[in-house]
Amino acid sequence: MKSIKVIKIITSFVLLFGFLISISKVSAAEQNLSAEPIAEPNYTPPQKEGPGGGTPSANMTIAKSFSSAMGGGMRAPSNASKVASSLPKTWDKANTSVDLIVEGKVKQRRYYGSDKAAKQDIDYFHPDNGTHVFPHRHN
Amino acid sequence: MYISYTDWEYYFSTTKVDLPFKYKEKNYLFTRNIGEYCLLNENSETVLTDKSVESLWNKSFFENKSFREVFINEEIFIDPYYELTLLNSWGREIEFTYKNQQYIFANTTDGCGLIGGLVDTKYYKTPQESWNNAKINGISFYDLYKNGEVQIDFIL
Repeated sequence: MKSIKVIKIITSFVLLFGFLISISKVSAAEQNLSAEPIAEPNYTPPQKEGPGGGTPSANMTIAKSFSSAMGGGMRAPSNASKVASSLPKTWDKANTSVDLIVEGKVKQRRYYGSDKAAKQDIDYFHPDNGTHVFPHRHN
Repeated sequence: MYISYTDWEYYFSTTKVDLPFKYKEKNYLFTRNIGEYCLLNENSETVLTDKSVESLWNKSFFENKSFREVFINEEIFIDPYYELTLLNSWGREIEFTYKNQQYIFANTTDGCGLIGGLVDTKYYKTPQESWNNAKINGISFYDLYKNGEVQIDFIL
């Protein structure tokens, strides 16, 4: 009788051990699946978010750098120069500063906001009767 | 035209603009009535109308050409003096040269006025008043401009 009990106990241990091994294998397989995406037919990558492309957090960083540059009257990280008689009201790229160059000098710096529309100007020189302080800003 | 088509498009979509212009010797008026953009002919009849300025631009205007096309190709004529006054009224400052002296139609905290040269600047509440009263050496700016004595340098 005793030997039968011992056999039963050993068998149940063996079964339990086998069960645990099979669980660990399934779990490992699941981990591998989640690590490697499966290429699907007609797979289209997710669209970039935000008005200027990029992730929302990246856009937030760009917007912060832009605001900081505008506040300090500096060039934004995205900056362009133009030799022309005027700067446009809108610019192709959001959060950008554009310099109007006249005779090698910055005459006006215009900041284009997240909606790509002109947000603020800084005038560095223009005709004056002594009432202007340069540089000065216009919204 | 002093400013680009994209600037016009921006102003049309954000501002109430009455823009008279000529196309093939006929007068038209681009305007906005309650909630609708309209293109009227010289008899004040509606030629094109739409709630969206974008849609209106793309509508067929003349011989299958859209209003956008004739505008971009600058086939329409906008009175340049009127265009300048309009731009100044939207806050843009107009810088020009007259007899080697530089001047500017400025918008300042004191008001709108002509600054530069030996002009004794007077400030007005509206750009329109400033333009109507602007004189250099006793000659109205309007006359100087129409006689081609003024060179427009910058639209700031």
